[in-house]
Amino acid sequence: MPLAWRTAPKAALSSPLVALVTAATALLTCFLATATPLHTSASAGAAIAGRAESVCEDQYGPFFNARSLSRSDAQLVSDTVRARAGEHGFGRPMVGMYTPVGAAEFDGETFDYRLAYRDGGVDDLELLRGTSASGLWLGTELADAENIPLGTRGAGGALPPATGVYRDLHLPAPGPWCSVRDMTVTNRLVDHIETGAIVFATDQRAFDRAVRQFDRLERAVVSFRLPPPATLAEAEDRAARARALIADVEADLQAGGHAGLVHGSVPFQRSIDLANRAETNVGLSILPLAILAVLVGCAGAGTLAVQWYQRRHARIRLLSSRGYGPGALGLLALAELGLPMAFGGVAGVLLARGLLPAYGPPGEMDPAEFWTAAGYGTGALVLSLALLVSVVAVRAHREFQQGRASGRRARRRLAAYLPWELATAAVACAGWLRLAEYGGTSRLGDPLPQVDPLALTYPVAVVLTVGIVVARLTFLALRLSHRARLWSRPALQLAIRRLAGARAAVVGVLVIAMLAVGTLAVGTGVAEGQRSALENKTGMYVGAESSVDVERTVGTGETALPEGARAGTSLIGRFNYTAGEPTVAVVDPDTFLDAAWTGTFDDTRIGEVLQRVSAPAEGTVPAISIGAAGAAPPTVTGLPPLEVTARLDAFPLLGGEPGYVVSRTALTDAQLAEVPQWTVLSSGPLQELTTAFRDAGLVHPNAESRADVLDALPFHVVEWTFSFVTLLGIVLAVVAVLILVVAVETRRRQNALAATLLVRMGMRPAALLRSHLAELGAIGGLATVAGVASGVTVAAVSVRQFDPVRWLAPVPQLPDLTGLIVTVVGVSTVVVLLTALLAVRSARTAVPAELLRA
Amino acid sequence: MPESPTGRATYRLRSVCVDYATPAGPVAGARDITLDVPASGMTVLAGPSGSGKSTLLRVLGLVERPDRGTVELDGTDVAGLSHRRRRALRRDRISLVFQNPVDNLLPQLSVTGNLRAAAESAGHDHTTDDDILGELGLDGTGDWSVSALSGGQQQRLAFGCALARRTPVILADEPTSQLDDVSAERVLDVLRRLADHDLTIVVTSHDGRLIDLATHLVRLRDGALHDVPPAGDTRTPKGVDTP
Repeated sequence: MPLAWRTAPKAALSSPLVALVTAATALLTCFLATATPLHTSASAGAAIAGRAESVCEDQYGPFFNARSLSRSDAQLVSDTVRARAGEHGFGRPMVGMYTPVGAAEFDGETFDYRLAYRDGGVDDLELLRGTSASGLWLGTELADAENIPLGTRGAGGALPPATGVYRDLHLPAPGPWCSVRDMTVTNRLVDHIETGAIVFATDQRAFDRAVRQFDRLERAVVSFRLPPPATLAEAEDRAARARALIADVEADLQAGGHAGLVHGSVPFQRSIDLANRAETNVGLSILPLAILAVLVGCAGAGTLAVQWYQRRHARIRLLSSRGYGPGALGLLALAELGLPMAFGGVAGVLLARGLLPAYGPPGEMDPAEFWTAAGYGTGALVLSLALLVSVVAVRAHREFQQGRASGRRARRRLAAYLPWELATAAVACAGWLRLAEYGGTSRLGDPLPQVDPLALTYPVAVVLTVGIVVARLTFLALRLSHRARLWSRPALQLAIRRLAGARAAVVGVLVIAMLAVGTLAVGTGVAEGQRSALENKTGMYVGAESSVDVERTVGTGETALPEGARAGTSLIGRFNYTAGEPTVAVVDPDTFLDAAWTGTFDDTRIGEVLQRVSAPAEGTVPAISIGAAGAAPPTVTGLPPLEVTARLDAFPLLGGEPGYVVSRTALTDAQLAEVPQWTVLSSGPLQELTTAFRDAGLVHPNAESRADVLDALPFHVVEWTFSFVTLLGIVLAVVAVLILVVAVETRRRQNALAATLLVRMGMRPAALLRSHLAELGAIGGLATVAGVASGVTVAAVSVRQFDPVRWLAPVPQLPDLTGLIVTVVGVSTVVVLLTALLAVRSARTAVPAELLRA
Repeated sequence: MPESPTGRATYRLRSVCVDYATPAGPVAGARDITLDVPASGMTVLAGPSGSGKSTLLRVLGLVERPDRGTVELDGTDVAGLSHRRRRALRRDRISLVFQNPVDNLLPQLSVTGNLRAAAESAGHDHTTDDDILGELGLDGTGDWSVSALSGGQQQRLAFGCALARRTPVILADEPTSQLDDVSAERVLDVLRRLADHDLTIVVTSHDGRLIDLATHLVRLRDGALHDVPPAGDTRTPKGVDTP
C-alpha cells in the first residue's frame, strides 16, 4: 500500500470535528438499520409475553383432551403420549382425570361429588387439615358444612380414606387449574351439591381405587407444564414440535384401533399467529420510514464524501496527477474516514442492542435475531463505506479523467422537478382509505384488527408530503428571491442571498428537519394516544381498577362487605334492561369517587352532581342523565319516576351510552331491595378483592380487572409502531443538526472571507450575527412550525382512526403535546444560535490578507 | 508552425481546441493550438490571466482531453487513449507542480516522506533523498514536517518530488506566483538546475524572470498562440543567478 494511503488515518486527526461527524453519521445509520429488526422482533416477544398471560399455564405446549372415555383408554392415551414426548423434546407429561358427577355416601350421608386427579395436583391445592398420605382430599365446604371427619371412607368403605381438607377452588381459577376449571371449580352460582363437590385423589393409586365407582371418565387431559415461551421463535419451535408429537400420538392410537380417542391441539398457536401478525404489522409499518431514514443516513455519508473531496481536493489532484486512479482515490477516502465510520457503525449496532429496552416494546428478543439485525446494521455500514468510496471515485473520474462537466446538473434538475409529493400523497391517500376500516372488526377477545400496514404509514406519509411541498415552495421562493431588495436591512438581505445561493442544501436540510419534527409530533401523539386510550377504555368498561358482582344482600347492606373489601371500594347497583334501553345505576356518593376510575373525568364535577341528587325527593328520584339527552327517563320497577336534575356526557362504568345515575342515599331500603344487580367497584387489584370475598365465603361472580378486560395487543401494535416513529424522529433530528453543522463548516472558509470583508467594510459583528441568525433561524423556524403543525394535525386526526375498540367510549384523544412542542422549539433555538455563532466565529478571527492569499 | 528547435519533441500538438461550457455559452480555453515541445530545455507558456496557459498545461498533463486536434507524447497520440493508459503515462512520464506550494505535498508526511511517496507513486522503491535535498538547498530538513517549511522551501520540495519521481517531463503551473521575491529566486535557481537534467520542462508564468529562463517561449492570448518565435529562434538560457 502506498505511503499516502498508509498514513491517511493519521490525516483524519487533522479535523477532529469531521471525524466526529463521520462517526456520528455512521452511528445513526447503523443504529436505525439495526434497531428496526430488533424493534420488530421485540414487538413479537412482547406480544407473546402478553398473550402468555391470557393462556392457561399448561397450554404453552401440546394439549391432549379426551372426553367420555374409560380409565383404561385414559391410561392408553397417557402411555402413548409419555412414550412419544421425549422424541420431540418434551418432558414428562401431566395427566389429569376427571369423573362425571356421581353420588357417594360420606359419614352416613349421600353427596354428589366429582372425583379428580392430576399428576402433582395436590401440590397446587392448599391443604388446610390432614396430610398428603394416600387417600382423598375433600373441599372445605363439603368437609366443614357436613362435618365429615378425616379418615372417613366413603361409599361404605369402598373409597380410600379422606386424608386431607383443601381450600376449595374459586373463579377466577388459579393458573394450574385454568384449563380444567370446569372440572375443578365448584359452580357457586348454583347449589354445589347439585353440581358436585370436587374430591381430589392424592395419587394415582387412590384414584384407581376410587374410580371404580364410575364406569367412565368425563375428561382426561394430558398436558405439559412448561414455562411460557419468551420469544416468538421459541414459541414457534415449541408449536412445531407439539404438532409433530400430536401427529405421532394420533398415528399410534390409530394403528392400535383407537382413532379419535383423543383430540390433540396446540392452544398457544393462536397466540403465535397473533404475535406473528403483530410483528408483521409493526415491521411493515415502520419499514418504509426506516428505509427512508437509513437512506438519509447514507445520503449523509455521501455528503461527507463530497465534503471530504472538497477539503482534500489539492491532495486528490496531486495524487491523480501522479497517475493514481479514481478507485484508489476513493480508497484514500476510505483509509481516512473508514476508521471513524466503522467505529461509529459498530457503536450504532451495539447501541441499538443496548438501548432496546428503552426504545423497544417490552418483550424479549430471540438471541439469533440480534445477529440478523447486526447484519442489517453491517449492511448499512458497508453501504455507507461504498458510498464514500464511490462518490469520491466518481468525482475524481469526472474531474481528472473526463475533464468535463457531465449531464449531472441536468439529472439533478430533473430529480428536483419530479413531483415526489404526488407519490407520497398517493401513499397517504391509500393509507387513509384503509384506515377508515381500522378497528371495525375488533371485539372483546378478537384477534388483531385486519389492518393493511399501509394504513399505519399514513401519518408519516402526510408529514412527508407536507415537508416536500414546503420544501418546493421554499425552493421556488428562493429562486425568485433575487427580486427582493432589502439593502436597507443588510443583515436580512445577506441572509436571503446566502439561502438562495445554497438553496439545494437548504431544501435538503429543511425536508429532513421537518420530517424529524413532524414524525416526533405524530409518533408521540399517536403512541401516547393509544396508551391513554387503553387505560381510559378499560377504566370506563370496568368502572374501577377491578370489580366483582355481589349478592343482593351485600348490595343493600344487609350483609356487610368483607373486612378486606371495605377500603377503596364502592357498591353500585344497576337496573339492566334489554339492549338499547338506558341503564339506571345506583351509586353511593360517599364512596364512589374513592373507588371508581375517573381518569378522563372531572372528579369535582362528578362529586358536585352526585351531591345534587343525594337528597331524597318527594314522589320522585333525582337523577343524573348520562350521554346524549334522549326521551323521557324510563319507568323503573320499584322506583318512583326519575327526575333529571343534572347531566354528564359520560360516567364510569356506563361510558357515554345513554343512562341515568341515582344516589342510594335518595332511595329507601325497600327501593334498594328492588335493584337486581349489585357490583363492588375497587381501586385495588382484583386478587385482593376476590380474596376478601372468598375468605368471607361470599359469592362474587363476574370478576373483572382493568388489566385483562380488553385485549391490549391491538393498542400495543399501534403504540409500538409509533414509538418507533418517535425514535426515527429523534434520529432524523440529530441527522438534521449534523447536516446543518457540516454545511456551516463546509462553507466556513467561503463565509469567513465574505464576512471578514463585510466586517472590514463597516458591518458590525452584531449585524453579521443577526444575518446568520436570520438565515439559520428561517430554516429552523420553518421546519419547526411546519413540522409541528403537520405532525400535530395528522396525529389529532389519526389517533381516533387508530382506535381498535370503537364501540367502547371514550374516543382516543390527542394527548397534551405542549411539552414536546416547547422542547422542539427550545432545541431548534439552541441549534440555530450555536450554528450561527460557529459561522460568525471564523469571520471575527480571520485575517483578510491570509484568506485572499489562500 | 512552432517546432522543436532540436527537431526532437516530447509533445506534438496539432490544431488542439478545448471548449468550456459556461452559462453564457461555450468558451474556448484553447483554440487551434499547434505546437511542439522540445524534449529538453525549458518551455515557458506565457500570457495574461485567462489566456489559456493552465488549460494547455492540463492538456499536456493528460488531465484534459482536447475537444479537437491531436496530442502526441513521445510519438503516441494520447487524446484517444483509455483512461488507464493515460494514467499510466501520467504515472511514468509526467510530474506536475502546482501553483500553491502546499498543494504539491502531503501534509501528514515529513519532507523525506514526501520524497518517498513521490518516488513510490512512479514505481521507484527508493530515493536518493539526501542528494535531492542537497540539490534543492534543503539539507537537514528531512525529518521536518512540511508545515515547518516556508512557502519557497515547500515549492522547492515540490520540484524535489518531481525529481524523486524521475519522470522525463515536469510541468509547473506558475510556480513562483505565490512566493515573495527571495523565495521565488530560490525556486528559479532550482529550475535552472533542473534545466541541466535533460528533462522536458514546461512552465506557465507571466513572471518576467521565469520567462527569461525559457529555452522555448510560447505566448498565448485568448486561448490561441500569439507572437510565437519562429522555428530555430530560441532563447539562450541566461546564467544561473544565485540569490
